[in-house]
Amino acid sequence: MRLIATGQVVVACLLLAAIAWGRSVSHFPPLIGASETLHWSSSQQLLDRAWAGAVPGIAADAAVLEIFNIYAHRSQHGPNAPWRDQLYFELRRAQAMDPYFKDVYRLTEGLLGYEALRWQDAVNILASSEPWLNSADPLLAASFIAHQYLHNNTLAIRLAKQAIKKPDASQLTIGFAAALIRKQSGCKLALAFLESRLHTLPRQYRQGILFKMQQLRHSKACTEERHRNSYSAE
Amino acid sequence: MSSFLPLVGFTFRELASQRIYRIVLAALLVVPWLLLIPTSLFMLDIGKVLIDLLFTALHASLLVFLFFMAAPLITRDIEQGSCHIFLTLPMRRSHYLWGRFAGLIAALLPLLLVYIGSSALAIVFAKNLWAGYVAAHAVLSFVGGAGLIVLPYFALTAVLFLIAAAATGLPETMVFLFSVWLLCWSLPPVLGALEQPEVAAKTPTWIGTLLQTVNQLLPDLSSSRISLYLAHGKMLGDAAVVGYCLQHLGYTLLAMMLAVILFKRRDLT
Repeated sequence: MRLIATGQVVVACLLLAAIAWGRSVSHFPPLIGASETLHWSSSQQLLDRAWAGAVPGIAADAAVLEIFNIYAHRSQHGPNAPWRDQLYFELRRAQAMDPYFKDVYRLTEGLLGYEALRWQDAVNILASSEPWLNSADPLLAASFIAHQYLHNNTLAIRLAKQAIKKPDASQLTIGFAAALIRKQSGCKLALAFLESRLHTLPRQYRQGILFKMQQLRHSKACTEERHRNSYSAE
Repeated sequence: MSSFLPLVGFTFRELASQRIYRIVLAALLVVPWLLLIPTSLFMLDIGKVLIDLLFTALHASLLVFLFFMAAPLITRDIEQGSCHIFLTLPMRRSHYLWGRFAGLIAALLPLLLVYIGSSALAIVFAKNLWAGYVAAHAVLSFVGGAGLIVLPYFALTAVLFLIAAAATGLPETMVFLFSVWLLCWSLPPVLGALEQPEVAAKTPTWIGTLLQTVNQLLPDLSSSRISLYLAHGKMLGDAAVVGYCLQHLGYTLLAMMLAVILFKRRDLT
């Protein structure tokens, strides 16, 4: 009887050691680290994570669905309309819960940029995709926005250089970066870029980009560039 | 041992004959296909969203099994004295408890197999439907993730036996089991968030220490990073996976050993 009890104690000790060892080695790398992801109170973040529990991805998916909802029900227009802040908050929340989620970056560009006109915020979110995604797409978009709307070429070139380093960097990325570096980017390139972005968004979310393209086509700089090009061609 | 295997078979048949078991089985067959509807709302990471939804549904079905099938079965046995039928065979109390536990796990396996099979087919269908938006090895990621997600629920089932061995009845078992599950669900991600310096700076140190201590006592349900990595088709480290499996199996065995000790000392009259 005593032998059985001793055996049980030994087995229990071995199991405790196995649990302790298992806990010490089963550390999967943390998903949070970029300080930009923290844009709401720490208690809110803790609550979000506690609620999402073992499936943080589903919380990011829910935040993206909420973004669709906010966009569909936006009633007020103007730079300070509350839906723009809500949009930004949900994008940040989705990014914090799942920084690998590509839809977040696509919506950041399409909605926070072209619809809500929060260019700086959009660039910040897109640029923060760098450690998480192996894709040049968000960085290219950030570079374009920084160049075209923030008129910050230093930032645009830095982001374009980051985009080139990604394995899926396309000819457009390389061409855009080269043009930026040579400071020869103009209307034609901007329109080509917007055109390429248009087809990656569902039809109902395209109005913002279409409006920007129209605006760009009728802008004074574009008209002058067209005249210049046709003049030099003649 | 001669009475152990019949008890496993009996427990399996007892659960499988219940209507709720068949309903859950049918639901698990259909749910993966229904999840294709919300998945279609997304744009680029469609495969990731589908796997997220499948993992969430898996957690939900495991909870249904734990709370609505496993907990009533073992608690009713002890509360209403049904266990006497087995114990007077004669059967040792430890064999009775282990037999019931193994029977529950055996009854869980068909549910899992049906769900994993149906989900794998739904992923293949999604891959054909949204070519380029679902990763090539999505099926493998899901099957591996499902296997890892189930492990903490084995440990929770063992915790259920530990609670039931000492509890006075079903309400008490349910309250304690729910509390343990809630802590297991929410603590690891909260501790993960506390790794961020900004959050840690704004949270009192004693709260962090308290949460760490409580977390050490519970089975780690922290499959959050696993499910996120696998949904995005990323690989997990071999040592981390081995450690993860070992700690949950270790916790399962330890909780069952404690349950047996408590059950042996319990007055069943």
